[in-house]
Amino acid sequence: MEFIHIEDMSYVYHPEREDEYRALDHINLSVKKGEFVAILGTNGSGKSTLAKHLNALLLPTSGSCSIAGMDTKQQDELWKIRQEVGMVFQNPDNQIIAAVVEEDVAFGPENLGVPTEEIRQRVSDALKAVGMSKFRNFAPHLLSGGQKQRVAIAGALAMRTNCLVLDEPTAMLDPIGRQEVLSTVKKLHNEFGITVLYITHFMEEAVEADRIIVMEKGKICSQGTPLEIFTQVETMERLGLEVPLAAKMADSLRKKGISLPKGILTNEELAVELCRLK
Amino acid sequence: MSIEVKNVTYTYMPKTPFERVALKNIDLCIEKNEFTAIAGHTGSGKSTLVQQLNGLLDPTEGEVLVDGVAIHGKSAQAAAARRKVGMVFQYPEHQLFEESIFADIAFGPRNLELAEADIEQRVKKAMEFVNLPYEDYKDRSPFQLSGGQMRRVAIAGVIALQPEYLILDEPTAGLDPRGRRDLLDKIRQLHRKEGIGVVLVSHNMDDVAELADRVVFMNQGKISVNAPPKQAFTETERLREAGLDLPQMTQLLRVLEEHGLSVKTDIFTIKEAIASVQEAIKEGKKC
Repeated sequence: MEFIHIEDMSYVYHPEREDEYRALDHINLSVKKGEFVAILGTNGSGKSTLAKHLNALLLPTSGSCSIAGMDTKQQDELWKIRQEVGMVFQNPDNQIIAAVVEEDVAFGPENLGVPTEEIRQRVSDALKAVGMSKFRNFAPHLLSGGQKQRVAIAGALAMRTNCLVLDEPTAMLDPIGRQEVLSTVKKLHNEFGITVLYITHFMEEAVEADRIIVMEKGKICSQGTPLEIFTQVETMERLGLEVPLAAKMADSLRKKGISLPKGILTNEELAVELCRLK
Repeated sequence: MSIEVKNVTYTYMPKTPFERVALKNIDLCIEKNEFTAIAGHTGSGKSTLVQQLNGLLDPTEGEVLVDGVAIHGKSAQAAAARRKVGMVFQYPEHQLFEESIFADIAFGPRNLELAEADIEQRVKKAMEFVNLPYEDYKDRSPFQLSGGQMRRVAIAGVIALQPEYLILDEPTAGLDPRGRRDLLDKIRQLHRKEGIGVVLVSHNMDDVAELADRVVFMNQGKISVNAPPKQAFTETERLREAGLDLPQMTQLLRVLEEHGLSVKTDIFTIKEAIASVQEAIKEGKKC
């Protein structure tokens, strides 16, 4: 079932001004319910602008964007759309607002006028899903970066969201924090069937996705499975991106005349193929 | 020439219920001719430590010397010593504020009360250094640049102060791979060509392994490892305690080794790794 449908969508910042800038240029994209899509691209390629269309923070200048069958331009559907799609941004300190973790998670459903008993239930469920139950009475500023991001994700889950859009959620985190966030997102995707759009500059995180979309200058320039994308080493490097280290190593070894098969993405695969050489 | 941290302890909000000791009896010598990296998880004390290095925070106990001069207090000597140490904070682009790129970079030198011609010279040099062509960019607003460019403007603002030492806190966070590579090359040049003492604070172990001559791991307000990268990254247990990862290259080479390929595991560049794998294949495998 199609969850996100984007058709010929463009977005222009400051239209008809001197500094007019076309950030999205005739994008077409379809995302199925329950899919895990990673979005790659250099700074300024339009990734974040695209993300902000998915819960109607921005509206297309032309073309259309619909979420679960609702056109984001329909103002009366706005709150339904925002319940469908939860956003998590790069800096956890900019998105936590309450003085206690459980109050922060409850903020969304409270604003929807959800009955108190149900809010309690939703907050408990959401904190459990991200593994933060025992921190429910903590002050958010005492948490680590990874924990804060998980609280932000719980806030979206408490809205009974079906889709998470995460815009470089691990850019500011230390290695443990990155691991916490990525495994939480994977768990929500696997166990609850949440649709995930995951923007990142870390190629080893993108490997986890079902599909990768590569953006360049406001367009989708390439898409495919991680295997399809990351075996195009030269294309990715020309775009200013990288491939996972094992894929890069395999490519370099091939250029030195070592006959490795295509399709190596992980360290394990590289080791096995190197051992297989005669 | 060095920054010496001597038995420094720092306590946040002392004598209150919120009292917290962030640094405990730290001794550290940062040599100007070494590229030093400081790594540790969130809350390990690394940011508190670097803020001691130019007197943004004064130690609760102990002292900091820059080239032999204590940086604490109001004396002209201490102020001059503090000024030798430039600091680029996390997300420095959030601190841009002027209308033009020129004005933003000139802000620091202007506060040093330099002559206008000197200021212009310094701005020009700093912009050249970060690859922003002077004539094309000087009059543009810093707010219309891409994230990577904004960060370069912010770094140029610190470079224009011509510090002897430069501290950078997570300078590549949020940059795309090419932006990250360009910026790291620039930082390396600052150290090698301009002779500036560089301290890089990072939890990206790949950056650390590639650039640093010396790696300092912080954990719970203490230094747990202080060694060259080759040696530091053999301290797997300490690394884990500090909440850090091995560099990706080290992880990859260790997997190859476990499979019976006799590769070196204390190398960090693709070039060295390729050579080592070729050699291992030639020598014959045990797998």
